[in-house]
Amino acid sequence: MNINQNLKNEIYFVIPAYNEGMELIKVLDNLHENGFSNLIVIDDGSTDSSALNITSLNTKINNLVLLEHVINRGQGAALKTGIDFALDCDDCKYIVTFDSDGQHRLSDLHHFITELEIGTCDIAIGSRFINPESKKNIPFKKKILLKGALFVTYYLSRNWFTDTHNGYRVMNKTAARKINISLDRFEHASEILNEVVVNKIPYKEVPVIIDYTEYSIAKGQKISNAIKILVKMIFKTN
Amino acid sequence: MDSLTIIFAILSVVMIGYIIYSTSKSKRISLLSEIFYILIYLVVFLVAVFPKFFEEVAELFGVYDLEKFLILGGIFLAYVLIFQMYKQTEIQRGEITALTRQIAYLKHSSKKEIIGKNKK
Repeated sequence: MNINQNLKNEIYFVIPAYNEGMELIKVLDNLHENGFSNLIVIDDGSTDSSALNITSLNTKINNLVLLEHVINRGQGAALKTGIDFALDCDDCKYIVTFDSDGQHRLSDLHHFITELEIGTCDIAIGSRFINPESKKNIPFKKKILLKGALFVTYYLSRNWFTDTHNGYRVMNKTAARKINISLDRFEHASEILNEVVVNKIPYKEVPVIIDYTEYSIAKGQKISNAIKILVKMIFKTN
Repeated sequence: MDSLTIIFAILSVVMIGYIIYSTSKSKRISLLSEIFYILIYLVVFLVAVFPKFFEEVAELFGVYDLEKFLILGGIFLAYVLIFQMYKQTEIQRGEITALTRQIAYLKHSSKKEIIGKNKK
């Protein structure tokens, strides 16, 4: 499906960022060049020049919104800040959660939009385990971690997902209003899936390819984080 | 009564007095916490003064040594307190995040206002 400009104008990207530097600028430039101008960047208390870089882009991208967390609160908190902001925008039809480290491909977006446009779901969730090609990209350690997370998410939500920690999602406003992100850090990814199940939000998993770079791997989750996520989720559900 | 018993009894009475004094001065400590801490020192006082009674209580729980019983009780209490603290920090974490979010929105809207005024 080709996303026409009218529809592009109704798509809001929510991009949490923490010390992303020039990577974030590349992501924003790419989105802008492809006709997406509703970009909400949440600077989550960066200590580098991220906020300054974004401000310099303001003249180029008209609808670029920069929301600044004065202190670092985590990706989950940043996403909620951005999603709540997007919900207040009248012309917003779809909200895209998009990573700022350049891992996500814009070319995958049409998979999500197609599902939402034909009405099969209210939220489309990216999965790197559907397309056999994309599976090859995943580093071994990451694969083990992600597979382990599937069992944890199943235990907590009683639902099998193929990829529980994929930050690429597209949702309409109905779904966004129902999903309450209360966990601030990386555990929000499991929480979102839990909310989808609990609130019976129609969902669809769509194939995506994640581009792993040295930069994104270094910024990614570690095994110690996985344990923290497990503890937080158990406390949250009980 | 041996000297250690007297020391413990006096210490616990002093601590109870201190808790009542601090809570009356600072309204930040809740009544429930005040009662909780007073109870702890009351137990210390009673153990010091009536050790025989508490030995019998310990035996009821299958522990035939008062010291061990007190240590186990202390560990149990410590875990309860740690959990309470965890709960409190989680509540405060949520409040800090909500506040950070509000500041982000306010900062953004005030910036928009300034830009709007400059354009005029």
